[in-house]
Amino acid sequence: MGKLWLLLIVAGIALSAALAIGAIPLPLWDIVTRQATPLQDTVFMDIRAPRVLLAGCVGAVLGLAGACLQGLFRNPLADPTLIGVSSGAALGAVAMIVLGDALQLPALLAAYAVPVAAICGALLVTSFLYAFAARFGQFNIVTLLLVGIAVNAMSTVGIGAFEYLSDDRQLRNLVFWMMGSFGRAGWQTVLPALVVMILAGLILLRQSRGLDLIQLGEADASFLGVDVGRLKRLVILMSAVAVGAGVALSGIIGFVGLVVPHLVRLLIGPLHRFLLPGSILLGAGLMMSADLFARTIIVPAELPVSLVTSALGAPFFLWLIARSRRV
Amino acid sequence: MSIRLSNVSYSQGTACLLDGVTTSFTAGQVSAIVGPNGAGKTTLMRLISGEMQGSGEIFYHERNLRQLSLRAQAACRAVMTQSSQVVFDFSVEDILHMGWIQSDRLLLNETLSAVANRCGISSFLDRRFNSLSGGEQQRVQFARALLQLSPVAESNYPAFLLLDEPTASLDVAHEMMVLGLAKEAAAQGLGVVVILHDLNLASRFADNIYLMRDAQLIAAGPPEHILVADLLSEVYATPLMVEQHPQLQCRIVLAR
Repeated sequence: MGKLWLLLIVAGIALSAALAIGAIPLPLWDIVTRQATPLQDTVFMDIRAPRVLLAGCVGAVLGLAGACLQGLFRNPLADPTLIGVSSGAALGAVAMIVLGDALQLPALLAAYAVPVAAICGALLVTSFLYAFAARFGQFNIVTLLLVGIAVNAMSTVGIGAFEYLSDDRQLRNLVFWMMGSFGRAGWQTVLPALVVMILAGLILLRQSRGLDLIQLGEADASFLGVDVGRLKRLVILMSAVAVGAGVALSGIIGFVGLVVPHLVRLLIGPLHRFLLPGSILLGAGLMMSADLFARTIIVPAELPVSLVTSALGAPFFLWLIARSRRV
Repeated sequence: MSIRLSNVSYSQGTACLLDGVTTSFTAGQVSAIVGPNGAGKTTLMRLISGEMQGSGEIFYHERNLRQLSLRAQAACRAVMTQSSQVVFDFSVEDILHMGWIQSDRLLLNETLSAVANRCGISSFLDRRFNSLSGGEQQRVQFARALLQLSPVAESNYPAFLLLDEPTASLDVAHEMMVLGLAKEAAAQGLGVVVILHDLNLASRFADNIYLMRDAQLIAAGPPEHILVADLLSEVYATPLMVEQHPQLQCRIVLAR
């Protein structure tokens, strides 16, 4: 319990640092006490705050979804990318970036087109995955993971095809999105995504006892009164919705969903009633820090944030594999 | 005060895995299910536990299993399966907590230490479950099942402990220990239904033996009625002989 407070403090420090530091440094105290210049106020309200908030929420959601999926699959290497949620969202977004111009949507709708397409993509892939696994063979974890691999491959084909179809401007847009960035966050798009992420996150948080019990095996969990089918549906669906909403705005950001739950487990153990809130806090803290690093290291340009998380996450992943082979 | 089965069958495709079983298991007794490999013992157990649904009806104290919610089922029977793989590093105490289906956390601590003492696992409650030996893990899982059934006060009915080969990976000392605990639980009013491969363990611990062959229940009754050389030799298609245990009031079965 005490260690959750530690994570809360870490997230708080990351939040303050991410809000204060940037191309234009912001004295937070002046802003709170209304003594900042109009320029500082504008930068804070219109640029910094939505960006940091989005980074924090996407990190929180990736950490939470990773922890839930690892628990559900009883596999420490599972994360939203593995079962195809992220690539489904990517496919939806890429399709909208390339085909969206042809739809000639009114400007008001156009702002939401890519996010909505990403959520639809994530849901479509997840429902397909679910339906396929349930229809052909028992709906068990191994089937789901194998189908996930196939779905990932098919999404890659789709994304490749759209890349081929796109013109220069669309391609730049697309590559930027695929590498992940919080740079284009504005309240107009961030707020609806926040609501979706928070609602889905709250539902996921309530599954901690079911996720604990399923560690004993699916049959044993149901012997203890857990509706295993419902637990699977809720966790997969809500992970897809939450990750889809986040990824829609930020682009694909790798390894956070994988690494964060591991670190939290090392710190406060595997019980989900601590692991899930812990993953939210650490995910948010890490992502705000990664974004801070990405946007300050080469001012005035910025790195894609996925470059930062992958650079840290990939070696960690290798270390995990080496460790699990040794045991 | 029993589990009653009425014409329970189960088939998968064209294969009939269980064929019209009608019988009952009584609370306060150890009921051992025995029979050759592939006789349908585990299928029967899975139907009784509610893990699978077949045709026919199963009643726990005259309440139809189909009409009981998962929570209600959890209150009237605990199941100990053979698999006990746990991926993440849960402590033994975490595993035991998972067996607690009540909301009363105060009562939990009291009951937990009592159950842990009974099963001889109090000394390693803090250890990682994965670091235990097979025998220790088996005892922890057994304790978890007991813990699930501890607060039966609310239901007024004795609950049932369903054990699928609880001694499969145990040495002789641990066999005695786990089945001794099951016997003790039965003496305190729980019903125990256990699949056993070893006829001598069934002879020693069971109040009633249920003999299965080819998806059917072919005989049920006290050990002295079932453990008969002719019957067993025919069912197992192997010449067997039955003797009196030199020291105990039970029979022993030997290959001839």
